[in-house]
Amino acid sequence: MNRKRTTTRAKAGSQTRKKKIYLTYSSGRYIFVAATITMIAIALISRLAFIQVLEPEYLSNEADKRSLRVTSSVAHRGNIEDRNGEELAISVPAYAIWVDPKEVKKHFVFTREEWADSVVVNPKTGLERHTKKYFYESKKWPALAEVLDIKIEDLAKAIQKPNSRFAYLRRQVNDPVVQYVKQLRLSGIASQLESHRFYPTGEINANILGLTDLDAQGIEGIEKSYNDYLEGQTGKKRVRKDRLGNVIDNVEVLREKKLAGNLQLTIDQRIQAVAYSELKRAIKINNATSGSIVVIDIHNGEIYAMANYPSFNPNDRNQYQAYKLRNRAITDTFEPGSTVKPLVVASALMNKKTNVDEVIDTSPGWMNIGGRRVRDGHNYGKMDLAKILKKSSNVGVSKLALRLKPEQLQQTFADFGFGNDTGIGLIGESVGRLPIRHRWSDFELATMSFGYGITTTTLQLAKAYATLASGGIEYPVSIIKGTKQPGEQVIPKNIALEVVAMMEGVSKPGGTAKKAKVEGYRIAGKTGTSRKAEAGGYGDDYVAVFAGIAPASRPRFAIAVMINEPQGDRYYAGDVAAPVFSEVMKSTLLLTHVLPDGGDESYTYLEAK
Amino acid sequence: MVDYRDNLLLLILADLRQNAILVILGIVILISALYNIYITHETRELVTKKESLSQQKDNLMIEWRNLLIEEHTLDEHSRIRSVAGNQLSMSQPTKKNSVLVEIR
Repeated sequence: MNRKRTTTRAKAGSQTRKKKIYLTYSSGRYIFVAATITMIAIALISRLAFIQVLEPEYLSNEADKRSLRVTSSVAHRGNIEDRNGEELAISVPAYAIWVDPKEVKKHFVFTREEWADSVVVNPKTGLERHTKKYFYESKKWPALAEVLDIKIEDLAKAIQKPNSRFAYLRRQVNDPVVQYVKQLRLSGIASQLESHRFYPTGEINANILGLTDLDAQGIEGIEKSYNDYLEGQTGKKRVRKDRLGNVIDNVEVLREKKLAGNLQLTIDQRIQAVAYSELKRAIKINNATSGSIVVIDIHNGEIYAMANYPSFNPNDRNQYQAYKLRNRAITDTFEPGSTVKPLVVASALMNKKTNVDEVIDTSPGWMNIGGRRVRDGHNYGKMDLAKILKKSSNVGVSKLALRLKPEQLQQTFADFGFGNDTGIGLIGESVGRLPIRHRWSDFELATMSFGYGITTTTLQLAKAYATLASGGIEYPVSIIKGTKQPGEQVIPKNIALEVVAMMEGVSKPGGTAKKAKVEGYRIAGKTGTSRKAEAGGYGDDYVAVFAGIAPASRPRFAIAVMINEPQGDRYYAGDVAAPVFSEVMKSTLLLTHVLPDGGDESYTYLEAK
Repeated sequence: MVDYRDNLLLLILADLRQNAILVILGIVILISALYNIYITHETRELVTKKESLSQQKDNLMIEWRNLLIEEHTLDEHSRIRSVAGNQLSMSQPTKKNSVLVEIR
């Protein structure tokens, strides 16, 4: 109303009298203006109502099309680290370069004829122009082939494939390569984010860690066994972006991002490195085919090192060969030979068939059992139990075994974990062979007492010695930190410790493995050299085994070394496997600060404040 | 009556005063609407900032992983052993040249 008055007043500006003003008022004009304004208002309001109320979807869809985007946030596979937090496997982003051949074919041709066909003449200027480029004339494609390290012919072949819409050109390339490819500005070439697994320790841990495939799925070893834990989930969310591509609103989470877990192993990389290099050296020196070594903490069953040879570099997939990949310490079984003798002694003591002070006459150095002969290297004459182990007398230990019932010996072997899984929880573990039957000939019983007719893995052997060393407590072995389980007393403590004391002779003068000695520490152990079984009997190849414990006075670590098929004259375990034990045990004890018990240390005392 | 036109402003003000509540409400609505725009803008800026920070975090994470790889390739135990032995002529102390120190 105010405005209307103002306008009428303005029109009547020249009039001086009030009455004149009212004379200019025309009700017709007023109605016309009012009606027009109302109509326009109604038109606007109804259009508004139409857009906002009746059909809002169309425009909001159009808006969403221009602003809603799905973004993803990549969760990388978890790291694997050793007990000190040193990373053994790390994932970093990598890219796959792929091609859409159809898109490329829109712009490039591969033959001269097609190239000639693609000419069009501009009707105005009359100039000839090629709509497509000739593939082999472009300088960009050879540049692409070079940076991706593929042949230009292979590249052309991949693109020429009919009806193809997708082909990987190269996977697992790093960021600079991707930037270079982007700068080439080739249509139809794109990159895709993926993950690259890197193993800084290379071949040292290859067998236990395993591998992932190109899609970041574990296919071997710990990578496979703990794939679910290590794998993260890439998160996806819908966001609204503005004109410049900035995210302005988080609309909804399409898939929750799940961060991958990091896995900590009980492996001590320092010890692992020593174990691997010593094992490798021994295998090279003795021309052996393979070998493995396990270091176990006897107080909780944690594996400090588990190395195998042959191994491979997991960062170089060209080296990928199945036989190199195997974690032999848990997959390969062998007849443990004389290394089971301490267990037989323990069994005889447990079943009260002998006592610690008994002296057994082993002369004349051989004995006939059921028409077959068991023999020693020499005639050792009368020996006590400790000397039987020191000299590794087959006759002496057979005599003990024959006093036992087969079930009793088998039960002891089973108590030490033979024929059973070790609790490590890795894929591919073998349980070995501990035949269960009721009827045993005496000869079979005797051979079983020096380690024939049963098979174990290196890990099982190390675990058996760890059980002895811990005073008869059997701990399930673990390789993942934090999965410790309580132990179980399987052998009376005094018997286990007595047997450990008996095994101390092995590295002393006259023992079978003087090279197993560790400077500054007392060790207990046992050698084992067994012929390898082949079809139809035992052949000329050997397995050299050494299992031992240190320090003998307060055991802390058990180590089992297995070297398969050493060649040459010196195939005895005391020459082949014992030096590996010595070196690895020495490093293990020094690195873990175990107090020497050798007795003649230079001592000094520091007064603590 | 001559100054009738001069009173227009007063008239308008009088009119407004009569509907004071409506006017105040109108102004409040206007302020609220403007404030709404301001807040939305602020929010968007913050979201953008957060997004770029988390992008930055991701990039730093990737860099960290790459540095980790470099670190562990360099401090790999057997490499250190060979560097210590060959380049620095170091060796593990033997029993003869070491003294055990026990803290009491």
